[in-house]
Amino acid sequence: MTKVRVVSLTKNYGDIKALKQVNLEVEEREYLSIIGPSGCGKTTLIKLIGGIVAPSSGEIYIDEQNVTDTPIEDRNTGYVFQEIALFPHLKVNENVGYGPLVKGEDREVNRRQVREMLDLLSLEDQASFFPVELSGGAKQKTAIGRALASGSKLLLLDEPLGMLDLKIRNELRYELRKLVKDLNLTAIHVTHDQEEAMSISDRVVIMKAGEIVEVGTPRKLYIHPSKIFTAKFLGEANFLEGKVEKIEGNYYQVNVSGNKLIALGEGAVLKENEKCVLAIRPEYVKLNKKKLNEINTWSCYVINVSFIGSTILYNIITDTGKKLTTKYILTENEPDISVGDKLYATLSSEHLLIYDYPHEGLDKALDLE
Amino acid sequence: MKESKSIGEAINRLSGSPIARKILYSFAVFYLIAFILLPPLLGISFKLDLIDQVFRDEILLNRAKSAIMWSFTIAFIIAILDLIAGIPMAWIIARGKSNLINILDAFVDIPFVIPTVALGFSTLLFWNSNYSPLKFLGVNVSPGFFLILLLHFAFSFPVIVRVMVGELLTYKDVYENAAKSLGAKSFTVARTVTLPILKPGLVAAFLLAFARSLSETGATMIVAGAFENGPIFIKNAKDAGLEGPMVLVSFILIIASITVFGIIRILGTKFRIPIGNVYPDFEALLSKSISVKIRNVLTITIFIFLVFIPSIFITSPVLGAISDGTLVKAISGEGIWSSFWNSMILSYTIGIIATLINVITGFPVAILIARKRLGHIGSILLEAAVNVPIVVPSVALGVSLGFFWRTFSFLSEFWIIIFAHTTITYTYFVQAMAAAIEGIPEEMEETARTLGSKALGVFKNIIVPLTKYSIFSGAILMFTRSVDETGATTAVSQKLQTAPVLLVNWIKGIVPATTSDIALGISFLVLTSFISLLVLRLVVYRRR
Repeated sequence: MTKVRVVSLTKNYGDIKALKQVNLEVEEREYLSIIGPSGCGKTTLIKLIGGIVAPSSGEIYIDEQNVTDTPIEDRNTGYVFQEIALFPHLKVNENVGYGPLVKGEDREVNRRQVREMLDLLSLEDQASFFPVELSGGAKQKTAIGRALASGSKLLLLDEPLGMLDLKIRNELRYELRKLVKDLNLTAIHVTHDQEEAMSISDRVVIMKAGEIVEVGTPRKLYIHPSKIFTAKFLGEANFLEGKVEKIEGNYYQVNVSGNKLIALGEGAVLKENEKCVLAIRPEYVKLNKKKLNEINTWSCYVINVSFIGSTILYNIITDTGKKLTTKYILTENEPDISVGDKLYATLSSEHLLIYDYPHEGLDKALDLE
Repeated sequence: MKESKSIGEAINRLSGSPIARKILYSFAVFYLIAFILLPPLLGISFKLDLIDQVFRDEILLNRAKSAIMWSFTIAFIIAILDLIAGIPMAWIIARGKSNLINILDAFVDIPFVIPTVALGFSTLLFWNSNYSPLKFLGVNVSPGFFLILLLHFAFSFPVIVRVMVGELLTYKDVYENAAKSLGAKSFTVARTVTLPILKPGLVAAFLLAFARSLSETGATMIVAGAFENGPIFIKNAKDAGLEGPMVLVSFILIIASITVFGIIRILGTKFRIPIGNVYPDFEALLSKSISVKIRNVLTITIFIFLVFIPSIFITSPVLGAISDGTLVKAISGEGIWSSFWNSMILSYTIGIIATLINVITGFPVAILIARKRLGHIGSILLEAAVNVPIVVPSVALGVSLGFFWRTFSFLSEFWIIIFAHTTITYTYFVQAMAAAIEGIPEEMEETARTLGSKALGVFKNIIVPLTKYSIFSGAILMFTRSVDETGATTAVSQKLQTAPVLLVNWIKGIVPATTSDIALGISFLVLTSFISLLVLRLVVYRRR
C-alpha cells in the first residue's frame, strides 16, 4: 500500500525553481532515502511532505488522503530536524512526551508512552536531563523518540545524523533502520551521505536541480545506474567518450580514441555510429604487470598512488592519454605498484556501463550544481 | 606632519605594552566606580542624618511610605499590562507579512521620540479632550493614579515591543516547526515552546518596563495631580525645601530598586513557565485564523487608543500656535521664549559634553565586559555596576547626585548637571557597545595581532569599523536621553534650567505660559529628538 504519494509537486522561491514537477511514491513500511548534491531540492521535498513549506503547485497524499493544504500540526508525521531542535527548556522525558501532551493524551498514558520510548532508545538514565546536558548521539535519539512518541507511522528525517560525529553517525544509522523496521514505520530520510543512504535504505532517490533523476535499490543504483548522473554522483566512476562501432546482442563495441572497448549494455538503446559515454567504477579496473590476453586491456603508467585507509587508489594514464582511477581493497597481498610503473589496465566489460551521449554535453550532465 | 606621524606611531607602539593597557583599563574602571557608581550611592548617605525629621512627623512618614508603595505597585502593574499588550504587538511586527507592518513598526517608537515632559502633557490633553474614548463612556479622567497608569502604559509599551521583536527575529523557527509537527496548534506552540524559550527576553522586557515606570519623573509630574508616587514625593519635598523626606524616599527607592531588580533577575532565571497542562480544544479555538485576527485587531486598537494617539495628541494645539502668532513670538525670542532658547542651548551643550565623556570613558569598560578581561565573575560585577544608574529612579538618582557633587564646592552647577547626565546615560552606551563588541569574533582581533598590529591598531582597524554603527547609535541614544532628561535634572539643578525643566515650569504654571506656548515649546524639543532618531534610522537603513 502506498503511504506517501506526491504528484507534480513544484516549489518556486521567486524565480528559483526549487522543485520541478516531482512525482514519487513511497510504500508502507519502506525506508526510502533521498540524496543529491547541495541545492538539489531534497530538503524542500521533505519539508513539503511535512507541511513546513507550502507547494507552489502539485499534490501530496499521505495514506491516500490529500494533505496538500493540511497544516503541519494536522499531518500526523514524525519529523526529525537536521538542527535536532530539542526544546531547550524541557527535559528529555518532557521532550519525548510533548507530542502526546499537546494532543491531549491522558497523563498516565503519556507517562507510559514516554517510558516505553525511553526504554526503546536506551535513554532511561537520561530522562531528567536537559538537552544541553546530552551528548550529540543522545540528543538525536531524543529527537527521534519525540517524533516517534507522537504516534505517527510516517517518519520524516531531514539529515537527522548530519550534525553528529562520523562514529556516532555510523552507529546510529543502523539503530534508526532497526527502529523503523521493528515498529513497522515508513521512513523518508534526506541525507547528503551516500554511504548512509545506501547502507540503510530499501530504495534511494537521486535528485538533481529540483528533479528526481532516478529511484532504485541501492545495489541497482550503484551497479547498474540507468542515468549517467547517478553513476557520477553515487560512488566514483571513470567516464570515457566514444562512438558505437558494432552491436552484437547486448554487447557494444565502442571506439575510444582509437581503442576498442566491449561493453555489456543491457537495456541500452544505442545505434551504430552514435556517440556514447562509457562509465566504469574504479574497482572494476584491474591492473596487471604482465599483458594478459584479455579484451578491454590498455597499457598505462601509474601517475599517483593514494592510501585511503581500507582502500588504495591508483591514478593511471593510458598510452592514448586517458586518465583513469582504479581502486584496490587493502589486503596483505595487494599489488606492489609505484608511481611510474608501466602496467596493463583491464576494464571489465560486464561492468562497463554505456549511455547515450548527453545532449547538453558530458560536463553539464555530470555537473553537480 | 612627520612629527604627528611619529607621535601616532609612538602611541601605537605604547598600546602594545601590557602596562599601558592596564593603565587605560584601570582609569576606565576608576571612572566607572568614582563617577558613575559611587556618587548616587554615597551622595544619599551623606545626608542620612536628615531622615530623622520624617520619623517625627507621622503624616509625612505615611505619605512617604504610601508614595514608595505606589511606585512599586504602579511599576509592577504596568510591566504586567505592557507585557500582555506588547507581546501580541511584537508578534504582529516580527511575523506579519503586510507592508503596513513597517509603518506600525515605526509608530511603535513614537513614545521614544517624544520627550517625557511632552508625553505627559500630550496624555493629559488627550484624556481630558472630547476625543477621549473614556469620555464617550462618560468617564472623566482627572490627573491622578489612573492617568499615571495610562501614561506609564504608553511610554513603557515600546520597551516591551522592541525587546520582544528583537527576540522573535533572532529566534529559530525550527522549534515552532518541531512543535507543530508533533501536533501542537499555534497558540499551544507559543505558550509551551516559544515564550518559555524566550524567557530571558521576557524577563529583560519586564525589568526594563518596570524600571522605566519606576524611574519616570518628568511626565508623571504633569499628570499626577495630588497623587504621589516616589518620584513625585521627592519632587514635592524638594519644592517644599524638605530635605529629610527627600533623602529618606530617595534612599529607600535606590536600595529597594536594586534589591527588587536583583531578586527578579535571579528568580526570573529559575522560574519555569508552567506547561504541564494543555487544553487542546480550547487552544485549537484560540489558534484559529479568526481568533488570531480578533487578537490582532484588539492589539492594534489598544495601541492606537492607549499609546499612539495619546502620544501625538500634543500636535493639535501646535496648529493653533502657528495661526495665533505664537510661532512668530517664539522665533523672535520674545518674552518667555528668550529663556526657552537659552535652555535649548544649555540642553544641547550638556548633551554633547555628556555624550563625549561617556564615549571616551565607556569604550574601555565595554571591551572589558565583552571580552571578559576581568574573568567571568569580574565581567558580571562590572555589568551590574554599569546597570545601577538605570535601575534607580532618576529623581532619586538626581537627589543623591546633587548631594554628592555639591560637596565639591569648586564645581559649578553646569558641571554638576553634566555629571548627573553622564551617570544617567552611561549605561546605554556601555551596554550597546559591549553587545556590539561581543558580536565580533575574537579571532579577528587575534588575526590582526598575528599580522603585527598593536592594540591601538586592532582598536582602530577592527573594533571601530565593525562597531561604528553601535558607536553612533549609542551616542545618539545617549544624546537624546540627555536632552530629554527631566527627573534627575530637576533634582540637581538650582538656577540653570534645561529645556525639559523649563517646560515643566511652564506646564505647572510656575512661569505663565499659554497652551500654544507649551505645545510649541514641546514641539521644538520633539522635533530635535525626532531628527536625531531619524539620523539613526537613516544610518540603520544605509547599513542594511
